[in-house]
Amino acid sequence: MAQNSGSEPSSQDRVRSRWAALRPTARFRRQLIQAAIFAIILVAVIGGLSFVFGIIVLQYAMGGLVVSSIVIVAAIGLTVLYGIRGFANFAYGDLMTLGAYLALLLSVNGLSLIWGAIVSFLVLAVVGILLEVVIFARLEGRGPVPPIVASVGVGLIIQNGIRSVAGTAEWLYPVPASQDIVIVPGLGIHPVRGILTLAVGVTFVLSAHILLKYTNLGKAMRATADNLELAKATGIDTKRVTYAAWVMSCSFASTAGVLLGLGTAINPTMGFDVILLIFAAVIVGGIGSPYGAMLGGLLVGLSQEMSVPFLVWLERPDVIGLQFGSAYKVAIPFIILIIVLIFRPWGIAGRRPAFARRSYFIERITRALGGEHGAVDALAGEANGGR
Amino acid sequence: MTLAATGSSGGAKDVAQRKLPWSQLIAFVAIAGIVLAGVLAGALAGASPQGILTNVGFYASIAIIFAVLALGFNLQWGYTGLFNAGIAGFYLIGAYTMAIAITAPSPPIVIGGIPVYPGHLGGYSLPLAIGAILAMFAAGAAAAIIALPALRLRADYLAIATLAFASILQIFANNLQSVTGGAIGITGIPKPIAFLSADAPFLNAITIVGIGSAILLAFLLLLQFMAESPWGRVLRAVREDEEATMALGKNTFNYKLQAFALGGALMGLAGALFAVTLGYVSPSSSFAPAVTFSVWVMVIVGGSGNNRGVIVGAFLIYGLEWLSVQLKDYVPIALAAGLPTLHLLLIVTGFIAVITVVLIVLLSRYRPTTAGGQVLRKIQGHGWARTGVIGAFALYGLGWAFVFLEQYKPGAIGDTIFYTRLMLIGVLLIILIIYRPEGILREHKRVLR
Repeated sequence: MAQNSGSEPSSQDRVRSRWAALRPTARFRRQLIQAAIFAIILVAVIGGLSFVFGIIVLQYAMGGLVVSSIVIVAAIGLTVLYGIRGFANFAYGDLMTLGAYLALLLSVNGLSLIWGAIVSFLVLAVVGILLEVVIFARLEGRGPVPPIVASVGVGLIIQNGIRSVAGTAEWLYPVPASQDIVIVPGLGIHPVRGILTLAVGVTFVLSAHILLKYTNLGKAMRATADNLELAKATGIDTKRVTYAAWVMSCSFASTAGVLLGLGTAINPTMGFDVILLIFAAVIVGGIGSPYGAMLGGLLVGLSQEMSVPFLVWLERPDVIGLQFGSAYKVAIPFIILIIVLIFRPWGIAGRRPAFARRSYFIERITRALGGEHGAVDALAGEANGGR
Repeated sequence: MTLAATGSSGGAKDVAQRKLPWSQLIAFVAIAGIVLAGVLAGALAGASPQGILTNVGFYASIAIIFAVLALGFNLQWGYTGLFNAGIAGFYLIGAYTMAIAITAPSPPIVIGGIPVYPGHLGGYSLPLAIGAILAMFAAGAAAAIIALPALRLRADYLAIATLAFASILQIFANNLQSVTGGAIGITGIPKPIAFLSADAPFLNAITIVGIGSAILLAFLLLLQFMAESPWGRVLRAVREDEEATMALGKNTFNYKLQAFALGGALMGLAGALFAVTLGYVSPSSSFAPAVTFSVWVMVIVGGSGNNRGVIVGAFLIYGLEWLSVQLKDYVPIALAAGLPTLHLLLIVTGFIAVITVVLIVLLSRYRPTTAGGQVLRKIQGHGWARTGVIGAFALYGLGWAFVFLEQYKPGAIGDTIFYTRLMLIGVLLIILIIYRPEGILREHKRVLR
């Protein structure tokens, strides 16, 4: 509120006209339709596969959804910071580990895991602000590489600090063991690892949506991510927005870390091991776009988990006799990442930059085939769509 | 345009005005001190002179490998501005290519129906030089392929793509048993010269240091020549302003691709040297992301864009790692033995320091013209004096931290020294990138603004 209330009596009108451009636009409606089509295709593909190969596909899809909900929570946090501060936070995985260990510390010492997760959520928010004040504010305006280097330093400190304090052993959260709930024979879901994770994931996606779409802070965040200079000129307190982005990013990291620890076990490299998956989700969705991160997280998480039966099939001696096939599932997000970097570097849901380099080499081919509009057309279409 | 005033260094006037290169002197003294401390620790632990020399030779050979890695990364980032987060991946490709090319055939071993060793691809017994060239080709080709989609985009896309590439390669090295030998890796990599006498480790260390330093020197000269050539000038122009370089009619993509592939090939060469030096490769911590981060620190410490600087950085930072291994066993024992003395020493030093500081502060507050007051003003006036005082206090705190750690958790320093070292690398990365991004030996300024 503070950043857009002026002293003149007519400030309300000015505010309304200032934010008018942020009403749901034609582009947003178009994206909704695209998302619906995407969802229908997804359901059709999974349904078709399970019709052909049996219910096991649905079981893997369920696992994929659970992984996706963790990845989506993390990817939203990473992409919000990426959009506003303009650098890839390589310490993000280690921040997740830190959140998981804080919740572990509290829950081992008698607090319930829910309260542990909440406290770790708040502590990580403070850690985020500290990181910005102590380190990253000093690196502003020096391009994308110095903050990446500094974030790797932060990650090394967190990861090895945890190793030297808590040791390298694996830990488990003290949650009561329970059986899978069987939905139909062959398809089950774990009440904590499955249902709770999905519920938390959906809650976080919805709250991120409400925050970004319907609050002034969220609108200011989106405006800053879109164009920092323009946002400053409009009177948005970009410093405050930056702190808000750090708080959101790091607290989402803590929750994603707790969910990840619930799913498997807690060890010092658990976060660093999934950072690639999260980066893939962010880039596939389009850097800086939270809705893209949701879509990218779904795509990456589902495809990673659903590739397992295929990789296990490859293990059979009469196919190619691959050893440890399911270990390669981690390579699937990388392949998706490379394909997206080649064909659509701005992400599947992201907006094509108005002044994109003309030298994306696939684009050259598509333009030669007459399928792609020029950059000027895209800019003109965007301007019309916004009004 | 910023490219106008390029050329060799200035004439006599420039030399006359040059100040003493303090930071370079400190760097060289630090390297000498590291070697000396390692030798002393070995001697106190009762190692034979030849054993100590072998150990120092090991330090030199691994530092040379890191220096080659740093030269490759310097070509990519220091000169061209391409940020590579997957140095460990190209290093791994070089090491495995070398190992596959030069080892003798090693069939799978099965004892009692249980596969003990899965075997690996290769067993071609090629000469070492051909193996090294193959390693360079393989790593360079991999760098070119990974760079093709990512080079046209912003620096962070390249960083993420290369990081992903390196971690995927580690997974492949661990699991693709028929090629890489799985978790055991490839053993029995031949040495350059097969010594049969009792002091073979010593002679091996000497030959490897000799070959390594010859290769390092050759590539340093070559890279220096290339960097000063018109080709190197275009690379620096790409780093400074790619749009302007394009506008001058250069195909910047080709230059970037060449620099990235050549840097990757150098990393492959480092991998080949590593395979020969250790005699085995396995998907262990040798190819972990920590290697990449260490090379970043080396290049940033040494001075990105300065080939001699990054070599100094490699010797310095790997020296710290080596020293931590040398001191791992010695320090806790010495600390435990000398704990009461150290305790007393720290208390007395702290007491004197507190009294001095209080006296100086009081004097400068109430008698600003006296000597004590002037000392404080001098400290406040000089940056180096302030840094020195802060550093002294930091060292003092570190001493107390060690004493407390040893007192309440004996053996903790020895156990956590590897993690502490990586934390130190993290701290160094942050501090350097904020306060001294140009490094010890800064790049020679050629640009008029």
